[in-house]
Amino acid sequence: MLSPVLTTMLAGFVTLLHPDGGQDQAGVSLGEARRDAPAARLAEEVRRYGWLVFSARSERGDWDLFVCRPDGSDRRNLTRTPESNEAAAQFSRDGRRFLFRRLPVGEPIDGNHYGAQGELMLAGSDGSTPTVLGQGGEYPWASWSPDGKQVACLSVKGISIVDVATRQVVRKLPRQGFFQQLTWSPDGRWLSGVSNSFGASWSVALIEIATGKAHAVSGADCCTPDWFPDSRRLVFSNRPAGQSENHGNGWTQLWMADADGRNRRLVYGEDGRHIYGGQVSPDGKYVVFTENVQEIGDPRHAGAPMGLLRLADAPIIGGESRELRKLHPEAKRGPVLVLPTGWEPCWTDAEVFAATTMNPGTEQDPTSSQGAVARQQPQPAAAVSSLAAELHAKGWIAFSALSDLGGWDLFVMRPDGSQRSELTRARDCPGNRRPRRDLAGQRRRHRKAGALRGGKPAPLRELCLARWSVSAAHAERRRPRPGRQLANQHDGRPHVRHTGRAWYEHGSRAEISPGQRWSEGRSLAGLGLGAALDLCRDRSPHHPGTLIQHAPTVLG
Amino acid sequence: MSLRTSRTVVGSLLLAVGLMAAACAKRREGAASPGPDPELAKRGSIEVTARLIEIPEGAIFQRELYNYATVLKYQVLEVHRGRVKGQTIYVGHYNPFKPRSEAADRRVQDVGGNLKSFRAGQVHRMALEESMLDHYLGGILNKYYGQDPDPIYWAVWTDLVSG
Repeated sequence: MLSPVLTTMLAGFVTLLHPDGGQDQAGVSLGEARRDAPAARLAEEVRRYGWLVFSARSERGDWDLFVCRPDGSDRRNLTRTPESNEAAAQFSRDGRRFLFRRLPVGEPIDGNHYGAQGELMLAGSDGSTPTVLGQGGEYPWASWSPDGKQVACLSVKGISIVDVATRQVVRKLPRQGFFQQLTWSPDGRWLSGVSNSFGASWSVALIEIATGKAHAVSGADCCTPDWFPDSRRLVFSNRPAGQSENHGNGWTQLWMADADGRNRRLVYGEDGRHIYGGQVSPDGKYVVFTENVQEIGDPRHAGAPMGLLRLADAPIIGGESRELRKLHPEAKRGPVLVLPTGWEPCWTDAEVFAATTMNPGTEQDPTSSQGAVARQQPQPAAAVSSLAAELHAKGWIAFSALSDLGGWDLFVMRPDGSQRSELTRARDCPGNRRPRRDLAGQRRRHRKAGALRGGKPAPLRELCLARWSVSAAHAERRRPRPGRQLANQHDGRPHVRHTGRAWYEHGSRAEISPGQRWSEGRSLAGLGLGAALDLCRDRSPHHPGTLIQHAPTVLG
Repeated sequence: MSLRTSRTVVGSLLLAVGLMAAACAKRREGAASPGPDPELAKRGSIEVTARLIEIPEGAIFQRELYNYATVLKYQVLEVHRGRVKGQTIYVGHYNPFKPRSEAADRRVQDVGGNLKSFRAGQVHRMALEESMLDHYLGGILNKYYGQDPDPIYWAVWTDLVSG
């Protein structure tokens, strides 16, 4: 349970964020959304429902493929390849494999053309055994057949159906003006995509594979279509004409329609955000999407937060969006989950990873250029799961982490990393404020002005907690000290992490209380990254090479 | 022949030579005057000189994150090579907000020309391919959709003639 002190502080933060007592007059903007009760329920609803794969910037700046639970938890880097960028991942319908494009790291991902860039790669759904299916530019816009045995590809010459095993073209179709984002329907009968043939600008359209005939689903300025599991409806991005916002260019929204183009209706819109990449969940009840400030999915930048909503709650409008609300007075204001920053998510209901923990050789070895896959070792999944279960209800951890907006914000989560929620959107919460917390979690002290003294809540700026983790691989070299657990990775017991001291940037120092236990290979807190951890590594003579740099927002 | 007569003859000869030299210089100048861009002759299957009739509203815009082609309407003035259908043709240009010399990129490599910007009324000399969709895979802005422009030619080289 939260301590009274922390509860007071949290209440103070909520008040600071919402002086009217938290009663939103407008819908919550996806840029400012936090996990209120309805969103928390939605998160619980989807948390165990498969996995999302998406592209995102790694801490090195290149694009890697990541997975996370649909509530945003348990985020992990699948590829970790500093020499290349990876994008456009799509699970096969059975969730056993995925395709993605791999580009040299020096080649920027082109938002217009990403489906044809680089090599086409095929890997196990956990990222294992990546193999090259097509050389640079081959099999453009490849989309899985429902049975996973073929891919449909789109080029200037037309549409080709290719057998994955033999690489033979088994069927060709005229492309009917299609030029990007080909997606095969779950029933195998249709291809959806973006076409030039049905309007003054790009439209979402379908081709019937048996006949080659095509028709439009939605007119101008539409893209990124995806199928519902019943193959009777689609979601797609749509920028309705006549918007005065955004200098008259308008904002792209998420819509859905029947496959014959009827019953077009808004799913999600928010002035200030372009909604792209809608992906319906395998059961058809939810949709995940990216919410971009820039067009074309922000691939030149860091991507944008992903969002997830329950389709039964649609339409939902975020933020103030006055014009949009007038057009859709029936629209709700939420709930919408804000997920980690990413691009072009894809959802599978398959259990890609058996346990909610990192495998060694994934996030633990950031210098590896071979990716996590080649060095993954089996985890004692049941043991780690039991450790996570043991920790789950033991209070809360508050910490600073880099938010999707690029600033440092305050987060809380359960000790097993679940139920991670962002408390603030204060971009300048500095990482060098050093909180202290005793084992009972009864008090929190902070350096500098505004520190929590006498139980008074600290201003947002002053409340920070930074954590670090130590590789158990090195822990065995140290002798155990009283009050501390020492990792032993060879005895088959759940691994625990040694805690110790670390130097932060600016020379401040903090210590984690002994006796805390962590899962092997997993960080349970957002960490000060980059310069802070590098400095820690360099200046921690008692623990040489033991401090591990972790990707941001790795925890759920 | 008297000295006076000799001088007259020499003067006449010199004048004639001068006139001939001037005429040759003019011919040489005419021969050296810039002809068609050689790039036009070696690209595309069709070469025309045509007047840009109009630029529909919104047909050309600059949004750095988008690559697209736009369809423009021309009145054919002269066909230099190949054949076109009718006196009015529709031509697709890649990223028309850019000077032709800067329009080519990794995705569309074979476009160019000396035209810096499009204005209605300009006369362009263009090397074309017959079917835009056979040569370009990308977004197309076609303000003439519904008027069944067929075919839509694909501009591979566009030079300014006048305007």
